[in-house]
Amino acid sequence: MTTLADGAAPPTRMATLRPIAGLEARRYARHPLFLIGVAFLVIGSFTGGTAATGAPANPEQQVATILPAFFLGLLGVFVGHQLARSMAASTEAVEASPADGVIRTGALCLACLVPGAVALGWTACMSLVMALKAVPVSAAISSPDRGAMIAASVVYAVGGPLFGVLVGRWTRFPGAALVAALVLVAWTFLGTFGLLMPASRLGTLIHLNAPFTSWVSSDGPNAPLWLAGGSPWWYLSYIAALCGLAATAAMFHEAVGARRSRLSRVLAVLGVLAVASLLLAAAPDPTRLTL
Amino acid sequence: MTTTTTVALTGITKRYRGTTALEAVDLSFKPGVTGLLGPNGAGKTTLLRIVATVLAPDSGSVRLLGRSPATPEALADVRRRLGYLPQEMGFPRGFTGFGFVDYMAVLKEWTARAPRHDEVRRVLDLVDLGDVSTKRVRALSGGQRRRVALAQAMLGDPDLMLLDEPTTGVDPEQRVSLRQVLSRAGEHSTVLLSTHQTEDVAALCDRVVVLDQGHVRFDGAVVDLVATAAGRVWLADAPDPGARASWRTGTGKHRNVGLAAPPGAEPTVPTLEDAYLLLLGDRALTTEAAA
Amino acid sequence: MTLRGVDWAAVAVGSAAGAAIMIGCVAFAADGPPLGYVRLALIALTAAGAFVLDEPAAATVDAAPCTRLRRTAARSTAVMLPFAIWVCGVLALGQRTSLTPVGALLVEGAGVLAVAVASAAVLRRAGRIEPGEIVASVLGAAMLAVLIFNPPPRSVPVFPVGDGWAASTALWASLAAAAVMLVVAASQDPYRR
Repeated sequence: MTTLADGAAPPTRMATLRPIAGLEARRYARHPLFLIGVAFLVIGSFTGGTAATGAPANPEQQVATILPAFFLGLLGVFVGHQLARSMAASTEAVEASPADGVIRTGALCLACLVPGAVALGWTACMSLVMALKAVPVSAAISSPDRGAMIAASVVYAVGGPLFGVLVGRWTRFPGAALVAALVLVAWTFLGTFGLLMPASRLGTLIHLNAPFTSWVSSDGPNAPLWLAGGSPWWYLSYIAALCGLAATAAMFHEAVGARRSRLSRVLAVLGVLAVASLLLAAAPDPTRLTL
Repeated sequence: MTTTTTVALTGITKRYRGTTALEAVDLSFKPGVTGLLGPNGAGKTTLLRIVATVLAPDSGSVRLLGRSPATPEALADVRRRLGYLPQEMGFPRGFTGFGFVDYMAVLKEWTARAPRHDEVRRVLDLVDLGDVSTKRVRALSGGQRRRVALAQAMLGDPDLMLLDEPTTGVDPEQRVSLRQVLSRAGEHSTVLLSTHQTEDVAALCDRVVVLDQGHVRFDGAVVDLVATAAGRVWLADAPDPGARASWRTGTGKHRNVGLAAPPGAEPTVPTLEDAYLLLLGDRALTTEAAA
Repeated sequence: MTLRGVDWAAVAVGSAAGAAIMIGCVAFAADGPPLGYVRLALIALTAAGAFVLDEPAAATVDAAPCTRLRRTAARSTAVMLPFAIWVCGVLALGQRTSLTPVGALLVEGAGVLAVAVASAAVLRRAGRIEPGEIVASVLGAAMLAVLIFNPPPRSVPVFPVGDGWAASTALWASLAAAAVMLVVAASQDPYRR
């Protein structure tokens, strides 16, 4: 058996991270809830569905974000949490290994890119289908903005699992995953109050602070649809910063010493970035454009 | 001490998804302490679970304490008179040692509070946990948790006590203390003790049953099993290549256990462990010869 | 019989979360009941109900003379806590706004909680001694999916919003009855063949 005493240099942290991340990614990809989510994502793509926010003028676009957001993102909360807690039974043996908690958590966070990759592939397919079917789109939504709105589905698919990992690392109470999912849903529901308010930057801020948002709404069941104010690109930056915060905070739980200080600084920077992105997302003209 | 048969198993078979845990096992037990030995997967735990009435056999008949536990009334009656310590034991969240044993006493229908608490204190004192009974089980060491589990099995001085690995994690001093408790219990109860610790069986049991791959390999007095190793255990300056097992002892000599001591070898008194190794080794040798 | 073995921490957390959401619903109910948020409360209360049958010491408890059916019946009474919160919340909502379909919501809550306990009983029968986490996650995710995707009106309304209350009530009443029978069937002693 070769040991470090033989003179070989110990593996670097990145070298350790890679195989562990691969292992966690395979565990994620094999998780029943993830596979069920992917199955429903595919089924939902064929059957379609109405977003809870109302009758869509552009159903494919509504569906394009809510399906991966729920089936990969929200279900991913349970997957991420379960993977994070799964080592709890062998904590002592795991913690005696050279790969410390930060590396293991980092690997788990990297594994959360698996649903993101699925969402990316699915989004590409949906975009292709929409292009082939020549689905009419409103001129009120510019192509770049539409791209940002659709790209958000990839971030949703990654953010949910990261939140689950964060909750799994920091909490131990039973049902924590469901509570985390409820928090995300309740937060999203509360964000819709911004759409109920008259068009204003405050309303836009409330609307866009949610971890999932719909850009299209109406004032009633038969009222015309309108596009909410705000910048889809800065919103994308905001939710990406939230993802970074979740991953960093998860790793922070295990960190000690200098690494803890470094992660504190990263958290601070990401926090500022998130707040700045949100403010910039709400900064544009809040006037709602009729579709 | 009564010699009434307490446990009568006839033709007991149990299979788990193609694996045979027990195959047509016939065994009976009377008051006294009987050791159950066998390698991992031999069927010891399955046997104990069947006798504890938590697992039904696929075929065969079970009579416990003079009754067939086929009806709910008989089953309840049998369970009132048996104590069971499973191999793996979980504890509900937040319980103290006293609280858990008290909980089990309630389930064993000790309805009156004062005598119940007295009994709980008695069994906790028996396992030397009187001082820490108010500590949360979570805060106890592994050995202490095992003793809490053992305490609940001794509630009410059961007529039939089934103990699966009772001394796992228990320190030597405590183990001696437990031997005293169990030997006293064996004077009036039937105690089945499944363990890997052959010294416990040698010290405590008058009878031993060796299981292997779901079959009974030996059923008889401990001294008779030990006698089968006479002349087959010897000391030498080097490991004997023909020995079934050989290891260097603290005196510098090698203890060899094999088919027969070579001429001129220094024989030594065999232990139950030697006899057990030879018994299972003979099985392997027989298999090789047949092949 | 004792309720001491119930995981009260889990039941309390779910019940507290449900109560907090219900209080918010009652406080902020305007012209009509905020049914989306009311169902979120129900999800939290369902999670509380999912843990009542968790038994970490099952290996030993199953050898006790108290049958599994009796223990299940006793433990199932713990679901009265989340159900009581649901009842109080719905009645308070009914006082707040007359548009609240009180009876239908009460039946819905009872049905959902009964399904949670029945699911836990079935998993327990299958050998999982602590089914609460799985039941809470699966049922919670399923309920969220129904809430968010709001299936087409041609299907039986599981969580109706505007209409369909009669059909929903019939559905949940039937599910509750079936769940009770399932709990009894799944709580038979594992020793009896």
